[in-house]
Amino acid sequence: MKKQINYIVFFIIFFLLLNFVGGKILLAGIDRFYGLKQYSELLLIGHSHLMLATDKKALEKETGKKISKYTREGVNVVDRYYMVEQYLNSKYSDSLKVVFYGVDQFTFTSSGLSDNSYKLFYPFMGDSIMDEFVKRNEKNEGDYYKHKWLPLTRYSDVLINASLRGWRNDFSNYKNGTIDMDSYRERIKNNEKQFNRDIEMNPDLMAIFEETIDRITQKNIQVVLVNTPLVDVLNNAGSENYREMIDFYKNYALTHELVDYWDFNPEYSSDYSIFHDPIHLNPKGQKIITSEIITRINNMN
Amino acid sequence: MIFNSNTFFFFFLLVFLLCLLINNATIFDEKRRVQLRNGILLIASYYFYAFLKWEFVFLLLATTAVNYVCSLKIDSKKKAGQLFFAKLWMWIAVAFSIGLLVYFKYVNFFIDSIQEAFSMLGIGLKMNFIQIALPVGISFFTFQALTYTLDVYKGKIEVRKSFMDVALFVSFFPTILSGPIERARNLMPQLEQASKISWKNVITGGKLFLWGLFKKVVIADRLANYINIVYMGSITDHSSITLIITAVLYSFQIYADFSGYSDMAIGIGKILGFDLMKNFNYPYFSTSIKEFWKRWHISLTSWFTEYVYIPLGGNRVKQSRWILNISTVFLLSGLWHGANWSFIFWGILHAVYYLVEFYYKKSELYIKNLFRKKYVKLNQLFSMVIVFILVTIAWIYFRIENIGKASDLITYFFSGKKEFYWGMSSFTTGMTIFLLFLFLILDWIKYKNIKFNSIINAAGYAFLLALILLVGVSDVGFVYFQF
Repeated sequence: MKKQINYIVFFIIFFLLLNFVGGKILLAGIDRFYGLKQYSELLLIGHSHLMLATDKKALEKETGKKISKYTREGVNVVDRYYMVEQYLNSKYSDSLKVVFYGVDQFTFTSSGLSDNSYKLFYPFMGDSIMDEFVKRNEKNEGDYYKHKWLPLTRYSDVLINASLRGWRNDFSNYKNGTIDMDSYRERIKNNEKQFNRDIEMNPDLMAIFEETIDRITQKNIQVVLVNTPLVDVLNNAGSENYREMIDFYKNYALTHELVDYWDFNPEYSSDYSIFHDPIHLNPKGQKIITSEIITRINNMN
Repeated sequence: MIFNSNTFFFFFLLVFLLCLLINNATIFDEKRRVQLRNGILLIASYYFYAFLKWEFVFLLLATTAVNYVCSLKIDSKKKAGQLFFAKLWMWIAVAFSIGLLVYFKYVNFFIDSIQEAFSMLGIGLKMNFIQIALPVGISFFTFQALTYTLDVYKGKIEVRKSFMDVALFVSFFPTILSGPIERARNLMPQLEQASKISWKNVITGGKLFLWGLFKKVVIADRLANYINIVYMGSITDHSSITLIITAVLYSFQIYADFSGYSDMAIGIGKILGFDLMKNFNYPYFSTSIKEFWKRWHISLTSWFTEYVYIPLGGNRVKQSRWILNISTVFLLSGLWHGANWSFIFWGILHAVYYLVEFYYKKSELYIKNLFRKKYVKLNQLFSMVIVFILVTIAWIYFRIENIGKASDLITYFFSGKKEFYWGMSSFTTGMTIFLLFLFLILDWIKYKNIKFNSIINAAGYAFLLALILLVGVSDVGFVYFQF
């Protein structure tokens, strides 16, 4: 019996070790990838549009500034509020000067939003703000404690990939290839939902957006609302609402002292060679937009 | 309730603790302890089954009751020397059990096939399909119940007076949904003895469960995510290399899925102190189709051998009759898997493989060793690859469930397009393939029975658990539940 008990003890020790060490290594990779544990001057907040439109390495090299690129697939306005809070509440925010906040015409669209995007933040359950966010949203208390106690359960393939890329300092855009516009136009024409989202100005989401911007500017940090290109066919599909949305951003920037608005659509949304799909840029597109952003950042000084 | 769910974890923990408590309750004598434990296991088994769809509990109960009553009648008639009536009761049990299976699983298939046949003759026949859900595990518990009745009839086991014992045997929760299809003569005597719950059994069973869970959530379900995407669209969208690799991946998916479930079931049984029969024995290391069927889904293959093939005369008949016997068994095996012509075709394809292999080995054309005799391993590897390719081709019919589409898919293997489709994410697909290689190495280590000292062994299983938590896909049903 002693032999069997020893076996179980060894098993538990090894498992706890793997769980603890594995969790720490993965989290360290994630922090490196998003630049969350570094004193940055510039912080990029947004979802996959901004993620694929900007090259962190090139931005850092050409501007000479440290950059945290905290962009995640599918994050909505509420998620972004917590992402901003997470960085602002860390000791690393002392050096922060500008937040680049990704926007587009769908930023305030409530339909199609995932109600479990909080799962993206499982790895940060060690942070009290994110832990509270996850706890409030988790539907099942058992699931909350499973993720709390077993750090290895906090990672999806996307997060494991991000962690590995963080350790390898790999910030490349792998969305190669160019959009097939004929097929895309056909799908827009057929009104396929996934290719033609509604543009909406949900007041709750707008309020959270404004709260987020206020939270940043209160700290005397400048905000740049960045609208990276989406294909013109998509922009034109909801033309009335699209224009209304763009006007909102323009007016918002005009009426808020520390807020600026950069829109790359007029110049690039009809250049289909830079798109991987209607909403994501390919490496060529990333290079162009990054270069534009670098010029504008350097002009800010 | 499925094994890879949080609910099952708590359910099983409770059942185990209750069994342990009773096992150590010295205030009762052994007989009483066995009765109490079986009572708990019976309630747990019915709860486990009802958790999926409670209405089907009545079906389970009816199957049990009919087999219980028929077995009692068979026994009394045999004792009275009335062999004709004993046989009659045996056939009543068979007719009822198979009748239920046919009704729930095959009626719509037969209606559809009849309509199709008439329409080919130019006769428009309109028959109504029945609207009914297929009870999960019906093919498994029906066959398990029948082993009891047939074994009583053949005198292989004593008839049981206790309805509870028979009900527990038929509904035993580790095996009810996907087997192994236990034999009454193996499980029933164990159910009548005190539990062998021990640290050793808990560790052995726990390791087996963990290994099965790894196969299921880390290998099978991850492979399924890729395979489902490829097969969901049109096959012409994909290159030949994508289709070939997907077919190979499916061979591993179904193996990891089904053998994973079996390992978990056997592991659960072991933790509770019961030895369930082995269901898989490294089938892809087989060097012949005959060997493959001795290693794949052993409990079903041996069921058909014992209760169909041998009663038909086995191999002690004329050669033409033997071919018919073999074909019948494979055809039934195909039909057992599903009410679809592609499953039947899959069974027939295996019968053809089996017979061709048999006659080829007897013929003058037979080359025992393709390479020089001294390269034993190379010759074995070559045979394994051939068997794997044949089995993989047959699995395509099994997976696609449409003979025409599956045949088209095979012809597309030679389309010449070369670009490999990486699925939704090349990282995810790449990692899945990496994990599959890891699994194959581990499976080979187990096959070779390579032993490590207990510290390395414990570290290895801790690593498996870590992988399950990190990269496992949870709460996805098992492929074999549909059968």
